[in-house]
Amino acid sequence: MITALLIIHALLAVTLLGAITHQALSVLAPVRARAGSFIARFRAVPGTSYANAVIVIYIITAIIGGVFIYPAYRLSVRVVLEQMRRPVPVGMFDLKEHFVTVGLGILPVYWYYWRQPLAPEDAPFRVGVTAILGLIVWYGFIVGHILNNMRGFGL
Amino acid sequence: MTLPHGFRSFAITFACVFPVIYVFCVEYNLALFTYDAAKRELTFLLPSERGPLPMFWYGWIATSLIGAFVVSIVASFASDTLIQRAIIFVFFYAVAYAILYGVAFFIYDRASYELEFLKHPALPAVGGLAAALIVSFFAPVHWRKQLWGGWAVVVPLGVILLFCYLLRSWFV
Repeated sequence: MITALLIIHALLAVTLLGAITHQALSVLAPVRARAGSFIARFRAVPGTSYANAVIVIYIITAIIGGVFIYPAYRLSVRVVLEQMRRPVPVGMFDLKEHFVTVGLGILPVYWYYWRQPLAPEDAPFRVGVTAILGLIVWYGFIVGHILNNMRGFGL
Repeated sequence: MTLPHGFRSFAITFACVFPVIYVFCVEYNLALFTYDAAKRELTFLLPSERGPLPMFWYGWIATSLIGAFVVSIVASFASDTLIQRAIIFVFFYAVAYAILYGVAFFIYDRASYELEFLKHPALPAVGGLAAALIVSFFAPVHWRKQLWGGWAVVVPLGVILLFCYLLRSWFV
């Protein structure tokens, strides 16, 4: 059961990562001319269409990770890591849980800055909030990936 | 969709207050409830006898959500000027306190004779209060308005960096 949840959590995380990266790049490095290359087309998406999806996927991913997977991690993984004296992955995961929580707190203002029609005076704040959310999602994804593959990474 | 008049204030205040309350909850363990992963037991507040695997994270989030929601609802009914001043006050108080605290200890460590008063917690507290009062009351209106939306970026980012500092012992 926990393996199935972990896979669903990972798939949702990948979807979230794609959505927030598309959106963040569309505001951090918007395409001015006609998009030709793959990277330019990646940046050329309309960011507004991602906002609601990002919020919904963020909350569902956090609930699956926090409510269903986290107790299993606390019980079966963290204890072992502490016994093996591996403080770095434990600290990385602690940071992940705090970052994700901070991200939950900025979701209302993120939604507000991305609601239609976009307010031009909020543009810099929209960029900032989206960048922070992107940073949190990327960090969470990488740490989750590392912890899931701990032995391969040799940490 | 038409939003209520105070939603902007609510959203920005929530983004600022939630992470700050959360930091306090983590630092002082202010969990609304505790879940023990080994016993699968939920205890209101902190358990009288600490179980084998207590998880406070859910309780910290619950405390922060309730606290931030109450403050943000109040903020949504208050005037923008008042909320802007309040956030500037709290922010500059925290920054001035940290700077004065650091400077006082730096001088205390380097001084050739005992400057005991520099170790007193009232010194950075009073200094921070004075600095925050001055900045929050004399900050120009256009400056306050320009900063207003940006607090929702600055405060969460500051809290993220603060967590990196607080959890540094795992990495060094």
